[in-house]
Amino acid sequence: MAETVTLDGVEIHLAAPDDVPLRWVGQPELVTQVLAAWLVLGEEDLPLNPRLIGKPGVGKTTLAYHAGRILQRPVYLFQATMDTRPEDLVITPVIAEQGRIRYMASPVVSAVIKGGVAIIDEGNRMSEKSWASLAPLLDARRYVESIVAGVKIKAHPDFRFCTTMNEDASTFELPEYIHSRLQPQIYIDFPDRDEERRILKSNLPFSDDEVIEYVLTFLQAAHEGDERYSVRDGINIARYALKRLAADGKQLGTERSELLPAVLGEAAAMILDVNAARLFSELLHAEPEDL
Amino acid sequence: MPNQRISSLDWGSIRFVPILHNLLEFAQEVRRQFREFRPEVVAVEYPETLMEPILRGVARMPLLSVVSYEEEDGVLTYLVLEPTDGQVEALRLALAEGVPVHFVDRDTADYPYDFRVFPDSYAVRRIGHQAYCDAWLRSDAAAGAVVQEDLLREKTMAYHLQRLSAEGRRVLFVGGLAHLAGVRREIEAPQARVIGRTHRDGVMLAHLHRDSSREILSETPFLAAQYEAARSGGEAEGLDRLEVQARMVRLAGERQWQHARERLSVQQLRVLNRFARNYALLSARLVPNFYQLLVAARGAVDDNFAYEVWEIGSDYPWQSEQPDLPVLRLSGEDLFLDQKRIRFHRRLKQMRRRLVPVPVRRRAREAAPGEWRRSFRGEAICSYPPEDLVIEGYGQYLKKKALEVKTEENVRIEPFTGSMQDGLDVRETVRRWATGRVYVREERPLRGRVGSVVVIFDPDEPGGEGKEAYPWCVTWLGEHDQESDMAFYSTPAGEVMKGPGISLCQHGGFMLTYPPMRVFDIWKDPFFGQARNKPERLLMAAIDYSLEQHVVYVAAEPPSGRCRSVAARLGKTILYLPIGIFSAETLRKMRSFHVLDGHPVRRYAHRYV
Repeated sequence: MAETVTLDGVEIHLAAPDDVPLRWVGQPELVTQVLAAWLVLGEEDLPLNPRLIGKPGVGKTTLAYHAGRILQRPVYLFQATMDTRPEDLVITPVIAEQGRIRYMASPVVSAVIKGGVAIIDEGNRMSEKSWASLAPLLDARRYVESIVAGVKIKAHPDFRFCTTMNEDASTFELPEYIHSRLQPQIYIDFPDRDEERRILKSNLPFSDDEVIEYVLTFLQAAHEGDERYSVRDGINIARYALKRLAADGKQLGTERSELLPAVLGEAAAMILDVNAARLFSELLHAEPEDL
Repeated sequence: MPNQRISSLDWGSIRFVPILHNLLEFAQEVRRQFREFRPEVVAVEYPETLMEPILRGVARMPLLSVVSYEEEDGVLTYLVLEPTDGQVEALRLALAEGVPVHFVDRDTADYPYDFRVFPDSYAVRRIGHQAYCDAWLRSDAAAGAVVQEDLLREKTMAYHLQRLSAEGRRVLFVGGLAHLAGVRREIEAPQARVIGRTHRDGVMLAHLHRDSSREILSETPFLAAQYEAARSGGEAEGLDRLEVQARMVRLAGERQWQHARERLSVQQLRVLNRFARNYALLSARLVPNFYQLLVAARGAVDDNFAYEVWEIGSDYPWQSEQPDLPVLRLSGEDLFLDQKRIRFHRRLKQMRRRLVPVPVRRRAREAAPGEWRRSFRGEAICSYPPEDLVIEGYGQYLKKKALEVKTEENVRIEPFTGSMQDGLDVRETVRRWATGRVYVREERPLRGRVGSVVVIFDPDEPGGEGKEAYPWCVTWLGEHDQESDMAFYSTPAGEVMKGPGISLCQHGGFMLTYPPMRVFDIWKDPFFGQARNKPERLLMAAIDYSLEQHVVYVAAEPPSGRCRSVAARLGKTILYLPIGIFSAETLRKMRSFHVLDGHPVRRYAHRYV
C-alpha cells in the first residue's frame, strides 16, 4: 500500500523511492562535484541544483543516482519526455472508486516531502512550461504549488535536486530563468581507458578479458574520433556477442577464437550501425602495435 | 617528538622554520621570520651537490629555472625553482642581504614518495604557523612511516646544523615540516657526518618554457606572479590566497566582457563561489585549488569563461624572449605519457600533487601577441557561411515561435454551453470538478505570416562619455535566394582575433528580412532618420522591408510607441517577445559571429572557429 500524507486537509499518495542496480565506477572527482553542489553549511545556506551534461550513455543518471545513495536518502527518478506536463511533475488527479479524485504525488514531490533526492532524467526533453512549475522549488522559496490539489508544499531540508541533460539538438530550449536555477552544470566526458575497463568489467562480470579488451579498444578509438558510441553501447555489444558465442559454440563446435571477430562485428552492426561494424573490423584486423 | 607540543621552534642559536614546499603561506612565513630573527646564516634543505645551479637559478628570479640531472638508473630528476617556495624565498632574502647560505641535506637517490596528507596551507594564515605545526605534529600522520633514508637525511641535517650552531651565529633553518620531528630528535645527540655523495656530475640549469610554466607550477602561476609583484612592493606577507582568486575571477570577467560582451552576473558569481567552496571542503581543503576553481567557473558560467580564468590564472608574466640558458619544456602530459619515466625532485614532498586534465578547450595561439590583429586589413570582409546557416535557421525558429506564442495567448477556455469549440479542456474541468461543469477551449490561430525578425541583445545606450560598445553598423545582402538580407550593429571587426584574418565579433542587435537583395544600407538611409537609437532603426527597417503582415521583435524592452505607430501606418503588426523567454545559451551562440578578411579565408577558417 502506497504511503499517504495529508497536507492542508488534502490526502496525497506518495510515489515509492527507486531502488535500481546502478553503480558508478571510476571518475570519483565527478561524484565529489555533485556532492559539492548539494552541500549546505548551516541553515542559511541553500543547496545548488546541478545539471549533469554529457553525451548519451556516459552515465549521467548513474552518477546522479550514485551520489544520491551516498547521501543515504531515498532517491526518486523521474523520466522526462516531450509530453511531460506540469501536473505530471507535481500532483496528478486520478479518478478512483466511486468517481472520487485521488491525488498522486510525482516522484519529485514525493522527494520534496520525504527529504529525498529527485533526479529528473533527460530534463532537456521537457518543455519550458513544465519546468516553470518547478521554478519556486529551485530557488530560495523551496516550495512547489499544486493548482489541481490546491496545496503548497514546503521542501524538507534534506531535499536535493539534480537533472541530467543530453548534449544533442533534439531538445527544448530552456529560458534564462530556468537555466539560472539549474546550476552548476557538471560536464561528464568519456572515461579514460583504465576507467572504461573497470566499468565494462563491473557490468560484465561473466565476460572474459579478451572480449572486454576488444570492446574497450573499439570504444577508446570511437571516443578519440569523436564518435558518439558510449560505454553503454559497448556493454550491449559484449552482451550480444557473448550470447552468440555461447549459442554458436555449442551448435557448431567451432573454436571460439575463430568465431569472435565475426560475432563482434555482427554485434556492432546490430546494436549500432554499419560504421561501427567497419570500425570494429578495422581494429580486429590491425596489428597489435597499431592499436 | 610526535604527539608532543613544541614549545618553541628554536634550538640553541638555530631557528627552525618548517615549511611545506612550494606553498605561498610558508614562503610568507619565511619572510616574516627572516625579518624577525635577522639570521647571520641561512640553512636550507637542499643537498650541497646542487648548490651552484640552485643559487644561479635563484639569482635569476623572477625568471623560472629548472635544475635537472640524470640518476644512475637513467631516471631524469627535475627540480623547478618557484618563487612561492619557502626555501627559495630564504635563499633570495639571504642573497639580497649578503647572508651566507648553507645546503645541509643529503644527496639521495631513489627516495620513495611521501603520501602523507597535510592540512591545507591556508590554515597558516588563519591560525598562525606555530599552531599549524603543533597540530600536525600531534596528528597520526606526523608519526607515519619513517624510512631508513629519512633517518640518514635527518642525521645529515642535524650534523650540519650542530656545526653551524657551534659557531654561535644565528642560524635560520628552512626545511620540510615532515622532517621537523626527526631533525629535532637527532640534533639533541652529537652527530657524526653520514657518508654520502658530495659531488654530482651533469647537473643542468635550464630556463622553463612559457608553456610549461602554465602547466607545472605547484601554485597557480597567477598567484606566484602576484606574490612576486607584492614582494617587490614589500607587501608579500599580506597577500591572501582567497583574495587573489577573487581578483583572478574578476579579471576573467572583464576579459569576458571584452571578448564576448557578456557580463558575469551576481547570481553566476554566487554559484561559482559556493560551488568552489563546497568542492574544496569535500576535498579536505579550505580554499579551492586551480582545477576546482576552473570546474566551478565552467559549472557556473560556461567553457569560454573557464578558458578566460585558465588563461589569466596560468599566466606567469616574467618570461624571457632570449633566455641566457637552454630552454626546457616540461608538460603535465609528458610526465604521464612520455616513454621516459620522469619524476619530480623527490625532496619536494607536496600535498597530493596530482595532474588532472585542464577542463578547458585548447585554442590556437599567435606566434607573437597582436600578430593577427595587425594583419587584419578589413577591406573585403565576408561572413563565415556555417554561421549564416545557423542564424538563418534561428530566424526561422523565431518566426515559428512567435506565431505559436501569440496563438497560445489567443486560446480561450470557457464553460460548455452550446458548442464543444475546439474540444474539452480536461485540466480546467478536473480543477473545477466540484462545480460539475465541463470546460471547453477555443483556439484562435493568428493569421498572416512573418516577414522580418529583429533581435536586440543590448540596446547599446551610449555611456557617460558617449562611448558605444557596439559601434560597427553594417548591412549585408543575402548571397543566394535562401538567405535573408541582414542589418546589424556589433563590436568592430579586427578587435578580437581568433586566427589569421578571422575576427570574432558580438552582435548588439540584428535584423533579418526575406526575400533577399532588397535592402539599401539602413544605417545611411535617411528614411529611417527619425529613429532615436539603433534598436529603433533596425525595427523601422524591419517594418518597412517586411512583405508580410508581422514583424517579430525580440528584446528586453517592448518596442517604442514611435515604432508601433510606424507599423500601424504601414499596416503591419509587431509581435513582441521578451528575450528572457529564450535559452541564454542559444542566444549566446547567436550573438557571436566571425568576420573573415576576404573570401580566401573561408577555406581555412574552420580550423580556428
